Amino acid sequence: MKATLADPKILKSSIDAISNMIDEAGVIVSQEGIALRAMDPAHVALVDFKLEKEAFEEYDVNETLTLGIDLDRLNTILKRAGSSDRIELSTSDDGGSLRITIRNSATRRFDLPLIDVGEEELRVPQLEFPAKVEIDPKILSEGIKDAEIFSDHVTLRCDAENLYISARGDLGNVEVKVSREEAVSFEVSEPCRSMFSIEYLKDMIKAGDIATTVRINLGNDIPVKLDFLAPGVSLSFLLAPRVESE
Amino acid sequence: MPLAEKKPSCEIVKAILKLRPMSRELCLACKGGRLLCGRPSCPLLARIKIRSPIERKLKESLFGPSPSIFVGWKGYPNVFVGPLTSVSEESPELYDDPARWYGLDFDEIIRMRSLLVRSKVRHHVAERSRIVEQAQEVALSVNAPDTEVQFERRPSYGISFSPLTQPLGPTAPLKKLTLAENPKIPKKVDALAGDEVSASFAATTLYREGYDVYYLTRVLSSGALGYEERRRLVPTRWSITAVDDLLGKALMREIHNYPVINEYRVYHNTYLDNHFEILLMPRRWEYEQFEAWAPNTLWTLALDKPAINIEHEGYHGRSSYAEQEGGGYYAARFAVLEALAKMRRQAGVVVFREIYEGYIMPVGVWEVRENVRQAFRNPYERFTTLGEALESLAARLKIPLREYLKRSTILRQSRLEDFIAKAGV
Repeated sequence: MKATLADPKILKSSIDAISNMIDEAGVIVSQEGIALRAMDPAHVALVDFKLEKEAFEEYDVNETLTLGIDLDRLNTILKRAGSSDRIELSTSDDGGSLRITIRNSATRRFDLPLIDVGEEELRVPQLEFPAKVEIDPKILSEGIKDAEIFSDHVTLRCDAENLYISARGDLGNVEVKVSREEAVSFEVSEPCRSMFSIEYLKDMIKAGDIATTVRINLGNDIPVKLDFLAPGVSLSFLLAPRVESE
Repeated sequence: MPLAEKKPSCEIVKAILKLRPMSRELCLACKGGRLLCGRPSCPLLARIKIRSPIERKLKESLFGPSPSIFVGWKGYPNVFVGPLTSVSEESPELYDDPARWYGLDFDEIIRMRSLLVRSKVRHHVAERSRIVEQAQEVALSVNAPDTEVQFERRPSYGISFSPLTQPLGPTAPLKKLTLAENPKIPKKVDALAGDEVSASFAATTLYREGYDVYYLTRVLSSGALGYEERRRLVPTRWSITAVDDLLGKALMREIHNYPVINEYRVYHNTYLDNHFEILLMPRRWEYEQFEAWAPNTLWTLALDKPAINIEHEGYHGRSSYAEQEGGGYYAARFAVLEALAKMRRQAGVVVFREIYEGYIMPVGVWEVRENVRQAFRNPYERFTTLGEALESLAARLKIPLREYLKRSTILRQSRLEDFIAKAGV
C-alpha cells in the first residue's frame, strides 16, 4: 500500500481527537480508503472515522488490510509534521510496521510497529435522533469551554427555536444559546435534552479543525452523535449521556 | 462504638476529646498536612501533643534497636533526618511495620509509637555524608540493627500526629550515631541500590520480589534508589504517597491485560472508625473514591453536616494530584489494585470511605491501606446487577446513597450498551 496526503491537517486533527480516547485500534485500509471504528475502554464513546481515497493526492491500495495501530504513538509522530509537509503512509518492507514518511526540505521516515488488536465485537446502539442541528464547530468548542468553568458535565438542549449549551455548578451557571437562524441547519421534531461528560467532549471537539460544520444529533437522555464532515472525510463520535440526578 | 464512650485510658485520647471546634473549613482538605492556614504548624495537631509515658527512660544517650528512619519535610531541601530507635527490646521491627498493625486500637498504636525515639540532624537532601550512609543501612536492613545514639540534649517527650505518617514519639537532636551491629540487607536490595535504574523501576522490582510497601517507603526515603546523580533523601510523608503511586501505576499496567470480572462484587470492612464499601463492576479499569467525613472528627470540628470529597480517574490513570483526598486516595487505590492483580482480573471500582466521629486522631495513611487490604480478605457479596450491589452497600453506609450518586462521575455515566438493551425492548 501507499497513500500520500498533500495536506496533513485532516489526519493530524482526527488522530489527535481520537487518540486520547482510544489507545489502539484496527485500521482498515481498502481500495475505498482508510477506516477506523472503535470504542473507548469504558464503552462510553465510539469513534467512526473514514478517510476516502479522494482525500489523498495519491492512493495505491489493491487489497484490504487491517493494521493494528497504537494511536497514541501515531499521534506523537503526526504531531511532528508541519502544515506544509506531505505525509506518505505505507507498510514497511517486512510488513511489520506502518511507515510514515514526512517530506519537505528533508525526508523523515518513521516506522511504527504494528500491534495485535483483539477482534472485539462492537455493540453499537441504533438510535433515532429527534434533533439534528448543524453549527460552526467553534461555537460548540467555545460553549464546552464556557461550561467547563462551572462543571465537569454539560447539558445539550434543543427546543423549536434554539440549541442551548449549558452547565450548572456550585459556583455558578452558564448558558450558550444558538438560534435557529444562527445554525447552518436546524431540524428539531421535539424538544430534547441530554447531559454529557466534558472530558470526552473536549477530545472530540479537537476534530473541529477539519470541518466547517459539526452536526449535533440529539435526543432525550440518549447518546449524542457528533458528525464532523468535510470533502473526502467523515469523523463521527457517539457519546453516552450522564444520568441526571434530581 | 465511638471512642468517647469507651472511657479511654490513654491521656492523649482524653486530651483530644477535649478539643474545641475550629472555625476553619480549610482543615478538611489540609488535614494538618499542607498547612493551608499559613501557620508554621497545625494548631489542631499541636494541641494533641502531650507527654509520653516513657519520660523516665529518656536520657542523653540511648542504646537500642533502630527499626527505621525518619525524614522530615519542613525546610526542604534542608530537612531533618535520623533513625527511630526503640527504648524497648521487644520486637522492635513491629513498631515501624504497619502491615502487622491491623486490629490494634488507638491506645495501642500510640503506646507502640511512643517507644520510638526520633533523633534528627539537619541535612541537605542531595548531600552525601556518613549519617546518610548510616540512615540507608538502617532503612535497608530487614532487622532492626542495634544502635548507639547520643543526643545533643535529653529527648523532649511527646507524641505528634500526621495524616500521612505514623505518629511520632519523643525527639532529640542527634549528636552521634553508631551502628553496633551489621545491618541485614538482602542481596537483591543491595544490588538494586547499586544499579543505575530509576527509583520507580527499582521499587517495583522489589515489590514483585515480595517486599512490602512499608519497607519500600523506608528505602526510597533514605535515597538509596534511583540514578546516582538524582539520588536524595525523600521526606517520609512524600515517600509514602510516591510508593503508593508508583506501585499503583505498575499494577494498573499489569491489570490492563487481565480479563474483566463477570459479576458485581461488594467488599467491606471497618477499622478505627473508618468504614469502607468497595464496589467492583464488570468493566475495564476506572476508579472513583469517596471520602465522607462525619461532622465531629478532628478535621471537621467546624462543620455541622458530613463533608464528602470525591476523586476519580479513567482507564489510563491520572496525571494530576488528587488534591481533595491526598495520600488516602493513593493508599486505597494501591490496595485495590494489589487485590485485583492477585485475582488476575480487572474491574471498574468505586470506593466509599466513611470516617466516623470516633476517628479522633490521624494515625497515618497506613490505616486506609490496611483497612482496604482487610476488606479484600473478608468474604464478599456477588450480584448480577448494579442496582442490587448498590442497594446492599447502601444499607451499611450512614450517608444516604443519593448523596454519593449525585456527586459520582462513574456511577452517573451511562455506557453505549445500555442503549442497545433499551432498543431491544
